Amino acid sequence: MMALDLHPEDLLDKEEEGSLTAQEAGHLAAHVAQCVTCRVERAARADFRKIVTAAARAPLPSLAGDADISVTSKKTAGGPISRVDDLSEGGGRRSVRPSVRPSMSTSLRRRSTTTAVLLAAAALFLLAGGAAAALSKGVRARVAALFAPMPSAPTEVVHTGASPALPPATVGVPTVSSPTVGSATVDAPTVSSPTVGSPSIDATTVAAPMVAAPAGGARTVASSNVGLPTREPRGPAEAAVARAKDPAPPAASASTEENTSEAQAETAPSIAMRFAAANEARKRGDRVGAVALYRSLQNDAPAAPEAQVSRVSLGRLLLEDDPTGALGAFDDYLARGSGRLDEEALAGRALALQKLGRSGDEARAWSTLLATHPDTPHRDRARARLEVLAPR
Amino acid sequence: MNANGPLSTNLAVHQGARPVETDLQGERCLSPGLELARAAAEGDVQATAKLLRAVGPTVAGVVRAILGSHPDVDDVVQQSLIALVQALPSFRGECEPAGYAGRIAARTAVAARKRSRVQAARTTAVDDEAFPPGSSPTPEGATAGARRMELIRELLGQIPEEQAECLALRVVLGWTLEEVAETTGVPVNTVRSRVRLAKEALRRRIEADPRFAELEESA
Repeated sequence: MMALDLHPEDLLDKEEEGSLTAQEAGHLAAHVAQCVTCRVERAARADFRKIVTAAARAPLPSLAGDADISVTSKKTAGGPISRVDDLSEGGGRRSVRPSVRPSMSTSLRRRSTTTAVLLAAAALFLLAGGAAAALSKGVRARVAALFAPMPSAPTEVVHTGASPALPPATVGVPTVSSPTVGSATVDAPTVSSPTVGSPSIDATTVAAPMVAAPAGGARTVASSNVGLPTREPRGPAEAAVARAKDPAPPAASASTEENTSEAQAETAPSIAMRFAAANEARKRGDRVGAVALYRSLQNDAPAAPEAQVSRVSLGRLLLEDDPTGALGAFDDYLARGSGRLDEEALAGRALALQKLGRSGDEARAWSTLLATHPDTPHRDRARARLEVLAPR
Repeated sequence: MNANGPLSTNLAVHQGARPVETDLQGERCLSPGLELARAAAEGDVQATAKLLRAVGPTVAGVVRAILGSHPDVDDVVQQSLIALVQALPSFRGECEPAGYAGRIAARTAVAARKRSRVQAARTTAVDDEAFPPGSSPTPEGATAGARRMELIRELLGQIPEEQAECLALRVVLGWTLEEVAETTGVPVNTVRSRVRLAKEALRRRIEADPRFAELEESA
């Protein structure tokens, strides 16, 4: 095995902990100078540290209420009262590093599946996520009972601030907060705590009924517009603004539906394969091949959902060398009805216009993006460009 | 590693001996975090709420770090918290709840990443790599850091789950080999082997994709 195949993981750990000796630092530096993998890993660690640290300090926007419940508990043996609201050890990525503590009682293992599910349901309510909507009426009622006013507990509990405001009686279906809900059902994996010298008891795997699979079964499509838009294509920016105001998909005409059904019924497997082949070409770096495949797909099956999605992929590929072509691809996508990639297409459109030096159109494009997708990850770029393009 | 050093407790736990802290009265006592976790596991709803609030941001950070611009980030965060609540009865307190939650979040996010990759291969959805928000396709918008993270994320979806979990815990969370071994319940050498295999896959990925060639210069 080549020396470069052996990575000094222990030295990397020591570097992470700040406990490298001078000699060890020299050894690590010598290895890293020759090993691109370790160089990338070290840099990536720093990249992720920023994200995890920043996110760990930011409050979850979906948590219900801002109550700060300080729970003081007396040990049964009359020990000191301790605060239990300092789980995170000061925040930051270091807060998620494990540190060994005495083990908990084995009596914890006597937890029924029912209670585990109820606790999970409680978690859903606390997070006010759309997943709770999928709970059965019976489970919702039981969770509501859990949050009913409780008698005073033997352990002293001091509440500072408002209690979590959850309706004890009525349990309504929370609104779905995430704009990205729409993918297939995702199952919660089983996670078990490692056991030593005793049989492991795995947590029950519960398929989280969090997101209902879209109608249409196994063939998930990114675009919601499985039926075809039949209205005349209009200006892409106008179409995007109209969709933002009225997100209901347009009704498909009979003839267009027939064409769509026919195209899908006869060539669906080949369309999917061609789309996959085009994606593979793009991933391989075969830009010319990918462009040709995307265009061929759009030419042969313009109404297919794969073709619609491929317009954004094509636009992205063309952005550098053929911004005119890219603009056409993004406009084509936007003109054909609403879809999951509206935001990307609008951003891509603005970038293409920037490349083409069409300042006025570019400014309008960024404005449209911000108006229709105010939380877009492209907002900083959009605002920066609008500032640059603002008339003096 | 010095067996008598600070990690000896880890090794002792792994070998079956359970370190115990006692108060002045000789009573076993747990850290505040473990007490809260125990109360939550026993059905204390307020303790559950408190626990979730405390570890929620950490869980969200880990999931977002691993999934990046994945559209299911919010759902995966919720899944992770549900998985944490469900796993509490079998939590042995080998680490603080925040660390345990971090591991669950990493594992859940890696699994979501793999499912997303499988779905993208079989369905008509555009890969999330196709047009990831925040990483513009234009040179001036795409930073080396964003590309490095995306490289790691893609790799997590491609390699076997055990390797992905170890790689995620080390690169995303910055855990040492011993910490990964302790929390995942496998020997350190097993973790070392999984990490080595994962990094071999990383090296092949870097060498095979011209996009990542420039990461060498910026690393």
